Amino acid sequence: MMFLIFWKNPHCSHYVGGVTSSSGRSPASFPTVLRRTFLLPCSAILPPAVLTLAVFLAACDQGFAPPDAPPTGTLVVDITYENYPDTWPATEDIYELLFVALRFVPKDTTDFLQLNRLVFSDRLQFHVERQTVTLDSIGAGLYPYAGVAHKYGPELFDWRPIGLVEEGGGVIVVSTGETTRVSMSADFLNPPSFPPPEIQ
Amino acid sequence: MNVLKTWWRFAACLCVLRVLAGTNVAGAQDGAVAGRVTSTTGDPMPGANIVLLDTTYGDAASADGTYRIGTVPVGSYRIQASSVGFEAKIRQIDVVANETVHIDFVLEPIAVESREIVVTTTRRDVDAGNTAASISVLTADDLAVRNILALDDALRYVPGVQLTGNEVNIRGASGFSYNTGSRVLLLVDGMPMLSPDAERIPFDLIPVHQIERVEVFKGPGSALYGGGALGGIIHVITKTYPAKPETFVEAYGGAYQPARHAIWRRQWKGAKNPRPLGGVAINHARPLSPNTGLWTNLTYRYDASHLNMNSSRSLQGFSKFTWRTSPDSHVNILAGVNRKTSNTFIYWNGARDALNPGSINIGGPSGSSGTSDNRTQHVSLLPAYTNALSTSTLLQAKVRLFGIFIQPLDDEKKPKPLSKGTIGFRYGGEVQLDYEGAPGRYIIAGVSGDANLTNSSFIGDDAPRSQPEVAAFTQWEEEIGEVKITGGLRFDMYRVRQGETLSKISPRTSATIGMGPSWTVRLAYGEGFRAPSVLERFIESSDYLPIVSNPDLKPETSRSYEIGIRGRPSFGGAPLFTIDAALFLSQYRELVEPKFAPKERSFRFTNFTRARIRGGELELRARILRGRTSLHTGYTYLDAEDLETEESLAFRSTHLFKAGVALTVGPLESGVDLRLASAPEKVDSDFARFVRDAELSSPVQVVDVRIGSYWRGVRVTLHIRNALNYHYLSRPALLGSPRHALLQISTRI
Repeated sequence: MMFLIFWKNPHCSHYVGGVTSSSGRSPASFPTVLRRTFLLPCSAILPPAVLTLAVFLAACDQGFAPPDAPPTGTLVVDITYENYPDTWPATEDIYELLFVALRFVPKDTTDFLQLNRLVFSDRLQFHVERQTVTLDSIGAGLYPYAGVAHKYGPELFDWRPIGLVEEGGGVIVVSTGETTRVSMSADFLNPPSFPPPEIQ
Repeated sequence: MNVLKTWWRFAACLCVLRVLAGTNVAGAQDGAVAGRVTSTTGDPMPGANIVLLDTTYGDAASADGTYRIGTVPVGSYRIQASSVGFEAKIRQIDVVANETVHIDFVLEPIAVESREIVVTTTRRDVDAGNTAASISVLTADDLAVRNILALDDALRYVPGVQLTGNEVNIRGASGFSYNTGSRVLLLVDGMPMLSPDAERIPFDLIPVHQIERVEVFKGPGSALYGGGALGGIIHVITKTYPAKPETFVEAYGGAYQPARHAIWRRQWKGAKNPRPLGGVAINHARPLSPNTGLWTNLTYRYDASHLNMNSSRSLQGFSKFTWRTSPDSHVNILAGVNRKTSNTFIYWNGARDALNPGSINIGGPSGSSGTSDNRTQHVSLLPAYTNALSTSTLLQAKVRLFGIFIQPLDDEKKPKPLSKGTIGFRYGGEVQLDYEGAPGRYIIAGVSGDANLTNSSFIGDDAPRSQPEVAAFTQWEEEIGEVKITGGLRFDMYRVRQGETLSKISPRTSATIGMGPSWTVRLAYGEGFRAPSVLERFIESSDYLPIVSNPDLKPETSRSYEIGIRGRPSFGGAPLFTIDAALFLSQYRELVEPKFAPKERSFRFTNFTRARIRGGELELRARILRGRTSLHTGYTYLDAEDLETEESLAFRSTHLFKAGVALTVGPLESGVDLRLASAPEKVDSDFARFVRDAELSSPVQVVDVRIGSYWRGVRVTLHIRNALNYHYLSRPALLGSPRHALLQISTRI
C-alpha cells in the first residue's frame, strides 16, 4: 500500500528517471540527490501514507469468526436393564445401542436425522445388567426426550427406544459447568411406545 | 432416435462435402501481407488483431508487434488493425501475386473502451453496445493481469455473478444445488459443455491461457442454446494461432496465510503454517504451414488449500488445430485432457472447527465424511467447420465429445476401479446456417443433436443411463431505422425413458432502439428450461446421506423480462465511459433441489417451488488517462422470493457490488478489485439437520491487490488475494480463502 502511494506521487515517479542532475549544474552527490529527489518530496506524503496504512491494517481480519463456546455441562446416566439376562436379544440382532438425548420430542424415527439437535453416547456395552454412561461437554439446557436407542435392523431407520428417562417428568436439565445424574431402566421386551403418546 | 440419426448423417455428409469442396478452391496465385503494429509510444502491440475485412484472413501481432498474413488471393482489400483500448485503423491495400505487401500500423489509445464484439446474444458476431441483452465480457487481458487460474476464478469479477461454493449464480438464478444441475450453461466456441453425469460446469476444461474472451449472458438463453441456459450462459471463445511461432511460459507460486483464529489452529496443525500453491503453464502456438496452425498448452497446478483434506493437483493438456481449407472456410479442432487428483472438502466440523471436515454418523452402513477423495479425468474433442458459402451465407457445423471419468481413491490414495466411480460421455453436434437476406436482416437456422451416457456407482442399477435430445432453432433479426428487432424460437425434445419423450418450445424476442449516437434502449423477453440431469433423476445412494431416485422429475422452466439502457455519453466531444442499466424480472417454476422426503425416509431431488427474482443492475466502465487507467464497477440488487412459502429464496444475496481499477505508469502495472455481497437472507435448513452450524452465512468483502512490471519481455506480478484477510463463507459450512499471496512470472518468446 505504501508503495502504491509513492508510485502515484509525481515527485517520486520523477526519481525513477531523474537521478542525474539538470544540465548546467555540477553533479550532486548521491546523498544529496537522494534527499532532493526522493526523501524531501516524498516526506510530504508520509502522513497520509501512514494514515492509509493504519486504516488498511485496521480493516484487516474482519468478518466471520468462530462463535464463543456454548455453555456445557456433564450428564451421567445409570442404566439398568430389566430381567437381565433373559430379555437381551442375540448380539447379531443388536446393530447399534446408544444412549440418546434429544432437544425435542420426536414424532417419528426420521426425526433422529436432526443430528444437530441431539447428543448420543458411544456404543453401550452388550449383555450387562447395569451400566453408567457419561456424556461430557454437552450443551447446557433442556433435553425433553432421552433414553436408550436400539437399532434392530440394517436399514437406516430401524431404530426404537427400549427405555426412557422418566425422572423429572422425563425432562433432563443440564446446567452450565455442573454434572447432572439421572437413572433409568430399559427393557428389550417391553419398549415404550413410539412415537410418544402425546405426539400420537 | 431416428430423427437424431438422420440429422447426424446429414450433418456429417454436409461437413465432408464442404471440406472437400473448400480444399479445391485453394491453389490460385497468392500474395501476402506483413508489417508491424505499434502504439503511439513506439511500443509493440502483441495480440493486436489484423484482419482483411469481409474475409476470413487475419493474424494476431506477435510479441514484437509483427504480423504476417500469408496466401492471400490477389485483389483489393481493406485491412484493419485493432486492439482493446486503441482506435482501430483501416487501410486499403492491393495484393499482388507472389509479393508481400508491407504495411505498418500505429494505434492511438482511446479514452473509452473500444467496442466489444460478442457472439452469445445472437449466435453471430455483433457489437456488444447494440445487443438486446445484458452481457459482460472478460478479455484475455482481464484474465492475464489477475493471474486467473480457472474459469470460476474469472467469473467472480463479473457484475451480477456470484459463486456459491463452485456454483455459478447469475442474477440469483441458481442458488446452490449441491453440485448437481447447473442452471448456467457453459459454451466452448458455441458448443454446450456441461458434464454428462450431473450437468456441472467443468471449470478446468479449457486452460485460461487459451481463452480469447469470456462472455457472460445474463438471463434465460434456451431459445438460443437449449436446455441448461435457464439462468444464463458462460461462453468461452478460444484463441487462434499467431502468424509467427510463439512460446509463452508462466510460473506462479505463493501461500495461504496461516489461520488467524487460535481455536482453528488448535484443531488442525496444518493451519499454523503457510499453505503453498503454485503452478506452471507452457503454451506454444505456431503456423504449421501457410494454411494450418496449432495452439497447444500444458499446465500443472498444485494447491494445498487453506482447509484440511482439500488439496488438489492437476495436469492439463490442450490443443487447438486450425486449417484454413480455402479463403472462405476453415476447420478448428479443439482437443484436451485433464487429470485432477483431489480431496474435496464438502462440509466443516462446525464453526469452531471450520478448517477440518465434519462427519455424519446416522447409523447407516458407514458414517459419511465431509471430504471426498477422487481422481477425475476429462477428455474433450471439439471439431468445427465454418464456410462462407457466399457473401451472404455462412455455414457452421460443430461436433463435440466430452468424457468424464471419476475414480474414488482408497486409503492409500490409489484409484479404485471405474466401476466404483463414474464414467460418462456427452456427444453431439449441430449445423447452423446464417443468411443475410438484406442489409440489416439476418436469419439463422439450425439443428442440433445431443446425447449422454452415464454409468455411476451412484445410480441404482448397473445399466448406463442415457438422455438423448434433438433440437431445431431459428432466429430472425431485422433493422428498421434505429430499431432492431429480434425473434427466436427453439424446439427441444429429449427422451425421459424408453418410449417417453418430453418437448419444450422456448421463444425469445427483443428489440434495441437507438437514441442518438450514444444511447441504446433494449427490451427483451426470453424463456428457458433445464432438463434434470441423469444423476438428479436416477441417483440411489446411502454412502453420504440416504438419497433415492426420482425419475419423474420435470424440467425447470423460467421466463424473464428485461428493460435496459446502454450508453457512451460524450464529454467535450469524446466518450468518457460506458454505462449499462437494467431492470429485470424472472419467474421460475419446478425448481429442483434435494429435499428430505419423510415418506421415503430419504432425500430425493424434487420439483419443489415457484420463484420470482426481480432486481436491477448498474454497470459502468471507463478507460481514462489515454488508456493507462481503466475502471469498472457494477451493482446488482436482487429481490428473490419463493412464491409458495413467501420467504426469501435460499443462497441469494440481496446486494452485489463489484469494482476494479487498473493503473499503468511506465513499466509498472497495478490493480485493485473489490467484491462485496450481502449475506444471504436464508440458507437451506435441510443441510443444517446434519451439519453443525450449516445454518450460518456471512457477507463477502474481498479486496484483491496486484502490482507488477513488464521488463525485457518478462512480466513479474505480485498478487495479494483477499488482502484484508476478510473471513467469509463461500457457501454454508465452507470457509472462503483467507489472504494469500502469489508471485507470477511470465515471458513470451
